[in-house]
Amino acid sequence: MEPIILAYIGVGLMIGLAGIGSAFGVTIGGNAAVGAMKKNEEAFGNYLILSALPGTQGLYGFMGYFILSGFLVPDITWTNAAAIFGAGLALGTVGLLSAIRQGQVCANGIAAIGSGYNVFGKTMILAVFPELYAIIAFAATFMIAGTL
Amino acid sequence: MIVPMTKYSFLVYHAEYQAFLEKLRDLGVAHLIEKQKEVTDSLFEQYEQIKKVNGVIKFLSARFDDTPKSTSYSTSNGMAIFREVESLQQEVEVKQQQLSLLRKEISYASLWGDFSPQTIAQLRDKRVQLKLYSVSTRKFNAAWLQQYPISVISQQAGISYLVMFLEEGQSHELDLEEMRIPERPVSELNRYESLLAGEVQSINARFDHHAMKSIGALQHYLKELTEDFQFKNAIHNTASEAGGKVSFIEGWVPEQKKAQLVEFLDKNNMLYLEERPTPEDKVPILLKNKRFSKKFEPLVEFYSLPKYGELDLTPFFAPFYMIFFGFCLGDAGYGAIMVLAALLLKKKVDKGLRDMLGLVFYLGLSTIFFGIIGGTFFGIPLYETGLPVYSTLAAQFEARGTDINQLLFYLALILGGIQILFGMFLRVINEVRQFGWGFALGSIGWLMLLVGGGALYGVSMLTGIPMEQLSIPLYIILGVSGILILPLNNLGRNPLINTGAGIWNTYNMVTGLLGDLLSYIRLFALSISSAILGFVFNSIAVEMSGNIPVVSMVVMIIILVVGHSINLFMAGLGAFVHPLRLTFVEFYKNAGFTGGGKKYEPFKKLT
Repeated sequence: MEPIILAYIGVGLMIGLAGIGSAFGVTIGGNAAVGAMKKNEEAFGNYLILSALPGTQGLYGFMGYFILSGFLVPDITWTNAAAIFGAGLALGTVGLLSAIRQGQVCANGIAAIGSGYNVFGKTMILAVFPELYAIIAFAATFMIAGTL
Repeated sequence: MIVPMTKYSFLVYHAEYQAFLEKLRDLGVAHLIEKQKEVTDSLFEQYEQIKKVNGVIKFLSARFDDTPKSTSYSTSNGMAIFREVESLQQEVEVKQQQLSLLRKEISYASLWGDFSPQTIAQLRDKRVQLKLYSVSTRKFNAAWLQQYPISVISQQAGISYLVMFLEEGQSHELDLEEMRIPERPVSELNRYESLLAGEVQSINARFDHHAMKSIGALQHYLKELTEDFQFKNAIHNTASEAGGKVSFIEGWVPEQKKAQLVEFLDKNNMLYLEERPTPEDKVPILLKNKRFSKKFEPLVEFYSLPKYGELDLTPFFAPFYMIFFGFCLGDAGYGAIMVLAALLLKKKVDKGLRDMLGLVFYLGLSTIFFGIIGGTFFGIPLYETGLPVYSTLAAQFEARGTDINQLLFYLALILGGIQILFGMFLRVINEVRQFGWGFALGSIGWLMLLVGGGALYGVSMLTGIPMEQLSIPLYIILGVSGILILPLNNLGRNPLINTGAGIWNTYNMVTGLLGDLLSYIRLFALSISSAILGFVFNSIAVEMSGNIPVVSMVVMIIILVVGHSINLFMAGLGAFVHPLRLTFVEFYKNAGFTGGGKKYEPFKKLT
């Protein structure tokens, strides 16, 4: 097996899993928003913002690839390939799960706003916590890229 | 800034109270304080009525895509129009239900074709029964036509529909499913249907007529109802003192309108009390900002108005939001579109949207700026083209082993650091304003530690002096800020309690600050992703358009327009949402924002 295969598997995991996570996350939020609009149509701005919050994990996955793209050459060393695979695994899995969970937090917030509770700001703050770990994974990817 | 308010308490002789309230309403400056009393039934009913009228207006407005503005309307028949539309809505719903039942009946009756009920009755008089049957066509045996008085009326979907005439007492042994005789023949049903459909259509025409002409009158009626409701609500919130002889009500009045009110009160010889707000009062919030910051006020309402007494952060987050939006969208072409749209549409929209266009204008300018710096124009990466300034810069970046993207990454973090430090600085000001210097020492200590430490590190990097030589200033900074953070952070408390609270605060700060700073990485992520998507659309447009002379040009343009529109929308949404979230979470948190203020809504005339 050539090292480049391992590297690209890592890239695939990074972009794919993080993207899937964001897709799920914003959909969960969007579904809640459609339901909440039946009760309270005027808070759509709030629903929009909360639904969009889980969207960043997919971007981090893409950015991770972008940062590492310069090292994906045919004669890549095993060390580099392993590093890229590790970064991909980390960012992909963390992005996947943190986006889905963040979407669930946002969906609960959206449902509460639909029922008339004024929880927009507090929901945003709570939604930040899962995302922090995706950010850390992205920063780790960036730092890994720096050592290659 | 938050407009200072004064509390006025009015004491009015009860017989003159109604007139007083009307005059107060004409002035329109007082935000009345509501006692937390139960809403009466009549107030509640009136509120429900207002909701219904609003519903009717929305229903009529939805009938045409762009509702024409009623230029003139009679202000007196709003209520009659509302009643008519409401009863027509109920009538049309009943008729629609009848119509759908009728249509089901028609689809059943059409299986049996036309017949006359009189014939059936006549047959029954002669003691001949008419029965209807259905059987699956495969099972149907043509011999039955000879053996029994039976006839096939129709065949549909593999099922044959039969009629059989039996004399009384006669029976048959065939395995047929009996079907009911339709009450009315299909021709009669069709006549009813077109009648009903005609009625529904005329009701819809009536709706359309009102949608074109009557929305103005209905809106006027809505304002009348709302005004009346607010007046009755004001009376509901009036306290009755001195055995019912004196009516007492309180309200908040902004600083600049005070003179108007006092003049009115003195002219009418009214008895009133003037008070300054206390820390426990829930004072309504009226924001007043200069032209630039004013455009950002609608964004504040997404989250929460500030509490009375704390700093209004709008003028402080406005420049950061503008910068972050531009950074995230980062394409000079998209920015140009925004600026052009804002300038061109300014004349054509009404007042409310004009402020929003002003905001779009500023954000567009920022986008153009960051598009130029980041080197993106409609997805074209300018640093990789051979353009004059860009190629020089690109060469310089490469010489230092970096490129524009690395620089943007660090820029995002630096901007984040600046906003966080600025927020902490604002927190010091906030705390000093609200609670005094003694309380703010802890925050001052943190600010000193971060700015001082960062400055020393920066000095060491720029001048090449190693950190060991700077250890003395470093220890001084650590020492002083340590004292402020731990034992001295609140001069009103025991230093030991302070130290405990200080340690807890330190833990929060260290974990929170790192997370907050890293959160700004999203600015870099959003900026690059929109640039790359634009680049991808350009590549697709060029590759997929093929080689046919005119057609491929057209195809390329279509792909470009569609692709860049999608990108502008998606990237614009991200650029709108994420800086907003950075403002509300990271910036507000570090600035010590509490929020929870209620909007200033004075008691005034609507019509």
